[in-house]
Amino acid sequence: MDDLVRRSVVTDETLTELISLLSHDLRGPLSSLVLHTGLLEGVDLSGDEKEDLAHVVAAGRELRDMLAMVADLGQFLSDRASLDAIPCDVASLVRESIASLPDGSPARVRLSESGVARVACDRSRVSRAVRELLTSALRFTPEDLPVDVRIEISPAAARVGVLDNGIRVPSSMHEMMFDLVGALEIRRSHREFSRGLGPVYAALTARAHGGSAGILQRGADERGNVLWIELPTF
Amino acid sequence: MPRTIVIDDDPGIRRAVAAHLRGAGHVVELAASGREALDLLKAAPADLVITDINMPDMDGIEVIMALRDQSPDVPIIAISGGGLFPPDLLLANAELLGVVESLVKPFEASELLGAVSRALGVAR
Repeated sequence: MDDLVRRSVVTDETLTELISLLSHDLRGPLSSLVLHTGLLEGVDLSGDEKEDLAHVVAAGRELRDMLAMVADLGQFLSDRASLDAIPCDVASLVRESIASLPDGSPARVRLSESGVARVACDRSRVSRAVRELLTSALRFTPEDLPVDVRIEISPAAARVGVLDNGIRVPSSMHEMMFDLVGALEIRRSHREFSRGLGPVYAALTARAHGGSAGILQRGADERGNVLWIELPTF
Repeated sequence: MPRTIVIDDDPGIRRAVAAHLRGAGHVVELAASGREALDLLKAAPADLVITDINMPDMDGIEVIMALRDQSPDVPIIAISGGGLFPPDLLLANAELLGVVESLVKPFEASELLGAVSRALGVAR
C-alpha cells in the first residue's frame, strides 16, 4: 500500500515537473516568435500583409495566454501556486477580461452589474479565469446572440456568472466539469458538453482565493448554462 | 548611446532582443552565457545588462551575484520562462538580489522597451 501511495505521489510530482519543463521549453521559441514578429510591425506592409501580421500577433498572444494557463494549472494542482493578492473591484476586473477577448468578441458580451464589490485577488489569474468562462460561453453561443455576464453581490461574496446557449449540461456532470479528471472524462465520453480545461482553471483559481465555482441552469428552455465563480468580498 | 549586454542561451531571443534595442538606439553586445558576459564587462563598462535566469553553465542568479560584485551600479533586467520552478518565482529571487525590472517570457517589444526605459531611468 505504501508503495502504491509513494508511486502515486511520485507520479503527481513528475507530472507537475513535466508541465513546468514543457512550459519553459515552449516559452523560448514563443518569445523568439513574438519578438521577431514585433520587428515586422515597423515595416511598410500592404493592407493584406498587415492583416496577416495582425493574425500572427493575435495567435502569439493566444498561445502566451494558453501557456500561462497550463503553467498555472500545474501550480494549482501541485499546491505550489502563490497568489499575488491585491484589492480589486470585481466589475472593473470583469470588464478587463471582456476587453482582453479577441477582436469582435467583446461586442458580443453584455455585462450587468449591481453595486460595487471588492475582493482580494490575484488580478491576472482571476481575470484569466473569467476570460476562460467567457471564451467557453462564446463557443457555445451562436454569433448572432449575446453572451450575458452578471455580477451578483451578496453580503459575503461576489458571483460572476456567464450564460451560454449550449445544450443543458446534465446535473450528473456539474461537478465533473470543474475537476481535472472529470473534465477529461466528459471530453472523452460526452464531447457535446465539454468546455475543456477553462472551467477547471476557473474553479481552481476561485478555490485558491477561498471561493467556489459551479454551474446552474436558467429559464425553462433546453439550452442555457450559467458557469459561475464566486469570491469572498471584504 | 547606451551600451547594453544581452545574456541568453537562446540565439533567437538574443537576436530579437538585440534588434529591438538597436532600433531604440542602443549599442548591443550579445553573450550566450554568464561567463561571456562577465568577460565583456571586464573589457568595457555597460549601461544596462539584460539576463536570462535559466541557463546552463552559469545560471542567471549566479550572473547577477557576480555582476553585483564586479559592476555594482549597472542596472539589471532579468528575463525568464521558468524551468523546474515557475518564472515569477525565479524572477522574485532575482529581484531580491537587486534586479530593477523583470519580464516573464514570452514578452512583447513594448514590454521590453518599457522595462529598459525604466531601468535606465533608475540608473540616472
